[in-house]
Amino acid sequence: MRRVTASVPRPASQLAWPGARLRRVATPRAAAVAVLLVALILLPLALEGYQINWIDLALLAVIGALALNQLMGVAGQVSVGNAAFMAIGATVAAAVAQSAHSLPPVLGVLAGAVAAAVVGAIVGIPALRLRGLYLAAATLALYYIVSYATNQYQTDTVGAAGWFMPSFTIGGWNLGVDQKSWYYLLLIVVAATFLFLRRLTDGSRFGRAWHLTSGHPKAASAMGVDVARLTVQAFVISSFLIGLEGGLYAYYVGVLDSGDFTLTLSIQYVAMIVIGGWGSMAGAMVGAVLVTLLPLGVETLGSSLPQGGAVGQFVAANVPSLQGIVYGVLIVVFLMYQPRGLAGLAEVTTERISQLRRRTRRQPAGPDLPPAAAAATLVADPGTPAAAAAVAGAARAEPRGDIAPVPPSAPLLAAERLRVSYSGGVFGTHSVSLFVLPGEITLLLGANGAGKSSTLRAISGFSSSEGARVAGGRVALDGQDVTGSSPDRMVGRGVVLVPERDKVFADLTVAENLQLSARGGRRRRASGVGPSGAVQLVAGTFPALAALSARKAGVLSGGERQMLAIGRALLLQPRLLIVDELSLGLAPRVVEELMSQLQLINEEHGVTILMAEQNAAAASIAQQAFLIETGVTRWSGPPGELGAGGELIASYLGTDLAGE
Amino acid sequence: MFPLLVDSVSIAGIYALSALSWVMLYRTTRLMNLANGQFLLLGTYLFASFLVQFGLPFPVALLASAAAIAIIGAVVYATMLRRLEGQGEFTIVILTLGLAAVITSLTTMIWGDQDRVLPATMNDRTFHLPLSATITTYDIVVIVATIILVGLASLFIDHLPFGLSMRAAAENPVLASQTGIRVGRVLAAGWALSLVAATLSGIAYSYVNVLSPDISEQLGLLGLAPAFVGGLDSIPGALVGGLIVALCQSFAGSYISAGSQDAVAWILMLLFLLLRPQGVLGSKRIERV
Repeated sequence: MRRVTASVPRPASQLAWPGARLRRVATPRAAAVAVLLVALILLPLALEGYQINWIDLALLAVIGALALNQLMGVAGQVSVGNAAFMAIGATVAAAVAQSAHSLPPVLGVLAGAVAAAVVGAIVGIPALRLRGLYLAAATLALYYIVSYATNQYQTDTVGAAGWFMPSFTIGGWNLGVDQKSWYYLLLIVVAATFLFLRRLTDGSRFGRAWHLTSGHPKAASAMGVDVARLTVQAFVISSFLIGLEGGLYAYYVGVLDSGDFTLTLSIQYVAMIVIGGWGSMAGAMVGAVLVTLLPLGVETLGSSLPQGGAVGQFVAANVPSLQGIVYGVLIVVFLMYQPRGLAGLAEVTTERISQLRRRTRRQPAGPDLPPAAAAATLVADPGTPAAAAAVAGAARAEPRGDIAPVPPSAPLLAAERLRVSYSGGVFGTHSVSLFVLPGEITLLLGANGAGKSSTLRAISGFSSSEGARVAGGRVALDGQDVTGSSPDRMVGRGVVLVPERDKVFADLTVAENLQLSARGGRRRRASGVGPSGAVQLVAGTFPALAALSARKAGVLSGGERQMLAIGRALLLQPRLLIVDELSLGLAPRVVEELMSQLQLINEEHGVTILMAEQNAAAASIAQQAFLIETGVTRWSGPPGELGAGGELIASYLGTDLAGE
Repeated sequence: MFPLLVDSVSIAGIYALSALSWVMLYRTTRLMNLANGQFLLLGTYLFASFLVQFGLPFPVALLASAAAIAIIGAVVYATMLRRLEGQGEFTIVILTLGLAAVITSLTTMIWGDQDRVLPATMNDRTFHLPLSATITTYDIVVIVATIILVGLASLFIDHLPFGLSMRAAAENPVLASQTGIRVGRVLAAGWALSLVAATLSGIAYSYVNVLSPDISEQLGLLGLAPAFVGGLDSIPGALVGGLIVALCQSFAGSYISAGSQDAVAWILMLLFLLLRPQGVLGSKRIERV
């Protein structure tokens, strides 16, 4: 098909000489960089003074945005104190210029940057103790303290008129108010900042540790990375650069007022990072330019609308407010719909284009090949994550020997060929089928990772925040389709889950955990017992809990937690009680006790039970069992047939599954 | 000394209400809303409009503005924040920064940036106390109302069933949903209550002082300081924090300079963050590496 076929032999040539591919990729890139550089150098020739002024301001913002990106995107810290660091850099540079005329301005600007870095280290110190929101709050406090200090200093020295800055000179080059000269100086500073930060993050051990820290601080600290120290370092480096920006800004504007550094300015810098894309340097730069030029855009819009018209007048009269609305809305919209910013958008677009290319390239062979072979051809090109996922998906999506047992009579619950997918394209199950007859205890057996929890969670419902969904199959309760209901809806229908972990509210007392079920939520009228009745009722089943009622659930032992969780579930008056791995992490004696309690609950209260286990310990109390393996139902029958010697268990759990 | 103490009482109550809005949100959602000040200003402007433009009687205007800001909070939660659940606290915090920018601009466009004086709704009398201290009717009303509101909030969150559901949803939304709690509603209610507390704080301040756009930062955002000082997860702590911050501010105001007052509050907060992050009354469970 057209020229596409010509490109097919390409992989072979790449294999023959790996450098060929490298050169092909590198050359257009180098050419693009060269073109961009030439364009940047020639740009001022094509623009008028006031236009260059905007570009200069954008370049200044780029320095700050790159620095903030280091902190937010790479080190994973949110700072709302950027304006404070700018204020420090600017004020120190101004004070140096005021008191020591003979010093070169460059030294003043550097002094400002160093001062900002020192304050950055001080703010970073809470990072030795704090993380997350607490640290963000500390930067907010810093902003106001610095803002007071710089204002006060200005009032005490030069007064409300502000600092009059001398002309900026560097090695005999007097920039004065010439926007073109400033443009070139700022271009150099931006380039230096970019190269410095790229070296810092990409090539070094330091950079890798940072990346690790931003994604998984706990894992990073477990791997020996000193997270707190890294965070302080990130604060120091980013505040140095923002201080540098502040000093240059002071010289650029000529008259410095410390009132320029508002909280709104801080928010603008955060907007640059969000719009550009967290952790992307190119994104930060584009974000900085966009946010800086936004006022120009709004003004242009105002003047391009028909003059005298109501809308035009409105826009012209509200330019600053409209700017605020535009970048506020941009933050909101990007976070909601494009959380990885423009950089993420660009990545997705290039990925789509290359996918499209690959598809057209493969087309001639496409129809003749069975799916498995198509997947195999993909293996030859495993470079992209999408391709790798496709391979993994193709390999795992093929359900081998799944069965869909037919219930002998009307079941309370039936799941048919359930397929659970998690965000990121990972599957929890492929084709799980099971049924639960009313009044019985049903056992779901399978090894670790077989998909037991996914199955039970799919039946009891996923919360919207979990990023999991039922991608195929259906769940029926009393013959009614209830697939994809929320957990609270399912509780309302009498299906109650005792999850595998996080099964109690650790910050609440035992009594509060129980009261929660007795009165709140959708099963409000179900048990109808008061708060004190709840503890008594459950204490009838688990006497040990009565003495613990004032304790925080977080301090309970594993067995006590399990009792509390089952007790809380019972108060919701379940028709179907689902218990995920009752025995997990518990001593055999405790498991035995809990099993006999479940049996009692089943026989005396008539509660139907579905329970998942890794081993056949529960076989003695169950009437029906289902065995699942790699997300597929493989066997069903009465647990007695599992055999006393456990031939079936051995064949599945012993050989096939134990290896997983 | 004593007059300073008495003078601080009403501002302490106003700070306590602002702190209460941070504490309520943290207790019910474990989040910080950096647009809290902007919502506070919006609610207060709504109240002023109900009272002055629409000529509603004071109690009606008060209830109407509380209801309006509660609905706004619940709608913001349902349309934006709910969709970001499971994406980490920073995403939501930054979203609130975006909201702050939008609301600031909207309030400026609608209500301008002039200070407003609210019409008197009651006879403001000045009472003379020993040691030449004075206290006004407004001061007394504000502090009494604050104590009642903090008491009600504490009763609601710490002792009533819906408050229990809120605490459960804050700790573990998934498990709460599995316990039959309609988590979306509960969290929306948390946002609504938090914004109502902020609005009441703004209204009280506007009576004791003037209604200025500056209160979004100088009262709403500043409420974070008394919240941290008292303990971010303690409702009675809001009252304690409000009192401590107000006292320190009035001492700084009379011994250093009037301009230093805001800085003092933030320095106090930074000190607590460094030395006692759980605040005076909060529980000792802070996020550490």
